[in-house]
Amino acid sequence: MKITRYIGYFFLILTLFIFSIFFVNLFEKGEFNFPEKNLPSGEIKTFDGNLLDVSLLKRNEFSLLNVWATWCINCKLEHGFLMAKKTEGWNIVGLNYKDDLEKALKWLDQYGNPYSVNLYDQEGGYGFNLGVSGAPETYLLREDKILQKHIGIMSEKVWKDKFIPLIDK
Amino acid sequence: MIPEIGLLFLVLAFTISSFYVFGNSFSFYRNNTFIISPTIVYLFSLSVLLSFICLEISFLTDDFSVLYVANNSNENLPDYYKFAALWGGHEGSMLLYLLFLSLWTLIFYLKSQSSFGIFFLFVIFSLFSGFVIFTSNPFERLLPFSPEGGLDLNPLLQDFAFTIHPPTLYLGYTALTLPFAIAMARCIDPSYKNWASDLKNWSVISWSFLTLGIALGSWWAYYELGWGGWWFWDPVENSSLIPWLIATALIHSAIATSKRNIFSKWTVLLSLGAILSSYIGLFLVRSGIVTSVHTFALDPERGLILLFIILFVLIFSLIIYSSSKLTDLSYTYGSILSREFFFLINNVFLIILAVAILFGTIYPIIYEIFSGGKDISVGKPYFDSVTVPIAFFLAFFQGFGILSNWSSRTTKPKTLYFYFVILILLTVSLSALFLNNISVSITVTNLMISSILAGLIYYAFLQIKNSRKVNLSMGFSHFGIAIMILGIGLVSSLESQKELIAFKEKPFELENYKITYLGEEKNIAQNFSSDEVSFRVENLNQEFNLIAEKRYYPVSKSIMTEAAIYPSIKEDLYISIGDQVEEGWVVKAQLKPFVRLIWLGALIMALGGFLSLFRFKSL
Amino acid sequence: MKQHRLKRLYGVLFIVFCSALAFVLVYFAIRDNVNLFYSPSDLFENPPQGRNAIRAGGLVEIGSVRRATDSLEIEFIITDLKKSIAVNYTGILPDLFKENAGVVATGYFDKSKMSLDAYQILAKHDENYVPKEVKKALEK
Repeated sequence: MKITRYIGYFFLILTLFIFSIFFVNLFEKGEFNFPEKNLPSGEIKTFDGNLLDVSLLKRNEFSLLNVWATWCINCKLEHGFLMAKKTEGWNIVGLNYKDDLEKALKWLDQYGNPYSVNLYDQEGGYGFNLGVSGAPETYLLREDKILQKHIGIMSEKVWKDKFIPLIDK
Repeated sequence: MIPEIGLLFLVLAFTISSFYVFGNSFSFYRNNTFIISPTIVYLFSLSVLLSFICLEISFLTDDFSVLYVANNSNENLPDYYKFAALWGGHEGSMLLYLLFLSLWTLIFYLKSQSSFGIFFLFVIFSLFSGFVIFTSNPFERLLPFSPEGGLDLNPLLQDFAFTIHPPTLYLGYTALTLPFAIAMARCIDPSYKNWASDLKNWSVISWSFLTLGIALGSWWAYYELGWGGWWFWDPVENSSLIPWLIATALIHSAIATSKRNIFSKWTVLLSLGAILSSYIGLFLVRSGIVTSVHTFALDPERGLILLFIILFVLIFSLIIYSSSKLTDLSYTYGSILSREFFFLINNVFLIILAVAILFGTIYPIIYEIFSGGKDISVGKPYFDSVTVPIAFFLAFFQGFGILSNWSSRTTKPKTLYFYFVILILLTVSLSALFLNNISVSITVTNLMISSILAGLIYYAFLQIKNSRKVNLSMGFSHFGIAIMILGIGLVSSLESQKELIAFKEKPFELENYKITYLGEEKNIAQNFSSDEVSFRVENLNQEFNLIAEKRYYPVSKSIMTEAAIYPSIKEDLYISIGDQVEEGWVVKAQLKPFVRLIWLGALIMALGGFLSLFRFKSL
Repeated sequence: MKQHRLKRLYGVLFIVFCSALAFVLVYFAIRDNVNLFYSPSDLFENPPQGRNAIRAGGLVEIGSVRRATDSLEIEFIITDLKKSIAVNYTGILPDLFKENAGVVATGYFDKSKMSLDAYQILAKHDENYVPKEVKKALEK
């Protein structure tokens, strides 16, 4: 009888091992605690064609940076959220990512412009320094620090879960 | 308004099930009984159904203020795809999962009235409905601003097989909860007499749905992914195969338990293993920790909660298991020719196979952790070289396993000798059929199917001769396996392909076929536009046209290739197209001999499983 | 009594024997069939040893895709924006393959030419996101 029990223990240990692997992996992948980063420095074009030094974006209060593009279908979905945040008085910087300027202008015209500043990152160079993997992505900024990052559609739920706790702190 | 009502019903179902669980835990603690009232079960199932209907209504009425609908549907989508789009993403498919769970709970209640079983079904339901409500609510609104159009269903999923593949698979996954609940019920209620046969019957149902679901998935991948492969060893495919293998082992072990009162602990543990493996599959797919064509968006938080649920189920059931007093008959198996021993072989090999596949699937994750973040992938060759030998032994022992008797009635060595005579005759005559293409893989295939068929034929002969009943359900299932192995063996050893640029008036040849590219035509459908590329195919005795498509879906801005397939039992002609180059098209033409036998075999297996329903006395 | 103990021993020996065989099988299969992932920079710093196929990923460099006119041979360059390597492939490209988009190629690496002879090219189904490994390589 003992041997059957040992086989049982073997499987139990195996299962627990698999579980711990999953846990470790999730914690490595997951951004449960986003490590604070500095906003990369550099110059970037705005929609009107001027070069803007990123350090000019520094604010003492919290502000948002939203990476978007007209080819990004999910951006359409979070647009309403951004407009709502604008009316609540939030300062949102728009980073147009690997896009066409004309299309982008048309988009803002058509759906409304939630951004206070519109940055144009045609080659994706600044986005690369920032660590952008795709659009949409939203960053929470304060002074020259990135405090939080969300990949994917912003919604009230994400806002409440990931952003509000940091803002209230 | 409707999405809110849907959420309300879901919360109601969650409340009912969790209150039931808490209330009954208390009553069990006080006086060792569970209380169940029909009203609770009906109300519970009804509210899940209504919640599901509410989400369907949101889909059919294009309510894009619901985030999930906006993400997975579009106003131009045909209505039947709108209906099916509900299970196109994570949240909705979880709701479908809950719907089926409640459906099985209802059926189980109507058939068996076991309050213990219902208790465990409710435990599982409360865990998963809680998971849905708190982490993946499908009714979440995009207020205050809703988009005027949706993002469209992934074009790969806009397909007939997709509308039925997930529901079938989920019916199988959720039905795995029933054997688990029965096993747990037996653990706390020793007076549950025919638990093992109940458990076996329900696992056969689950197994049949899983078989169908996996086969549908394979068929879908074959014609929709456009490469002509029918199994990719993708993590998601693997995570449906592992529960299937364990369920297969479970059926056999449960038969032994119900007939001979042996392996009973093992049966209980296997039923736990079966649902745990299905949950691990769920976890792998939903948390996004493995890369796969199927994975939903990466959401570690969701994965974490799912992991806690799985861990809870594991610990909870192990506690119940360890406090139970399960006893086996004092011996385990009879002679080496007894059916007990063959069931042992079956279980050992199936579990080894399941573990080996699981290992290959999660090895990249293990490696990444121990090597400090290096990414690897485990390719198809690993799975092929591991599964084929194990599957060979499974098939080889299967034939005689079918013939063997329980140790209460000795299996005569004479039977073994006759069996080998039939086996050799069959092998020789089958190899005569394939004489012009003898290879190692053909011979292996031949030996595998001959073993199974020899067993089946001799079994049928013996039963009829001794005027005993032939077990059709068992016969069909095993016959289906033989057909499937035949299909797999033939297609992998005889397939041929050609890749080239096809020009007009420059036909190319593939085996007996002469294929000419004719031209293309622009075509506009309801929600996509396409280039239809047509080919003229000439064979020895027939001529026909085939059309392959390059589709462009404007809403999701994605391109999809629809391969041109000319199906027949003997072989499929499979033409897929790449880019257009100057005057011609990049073309990959493949010939897939007997590929249909794979799905035919699965169909026969599932049929065998469903046949056993007719002998389902306790139902 | 003794006899059924002996039979049980046979059963256990059988299980142990099969598991050991399976273990050996799995060990050799996994040793030979693991494909390590490399970014172009990794390939320069630390080229792969051994005969196993590797996977390399990065962005397809703009303007680098060249296709033979009479065959299915394709050549392109993948980059992680620091280093780049050439990829040769014969066959049909996936629908989502395009310039400046993420791609993962599986094949054999030729150290002398710093190029990869790929037998499989994968592009992600979802156009919004870069494949997981490529993203990680880019962030390094």
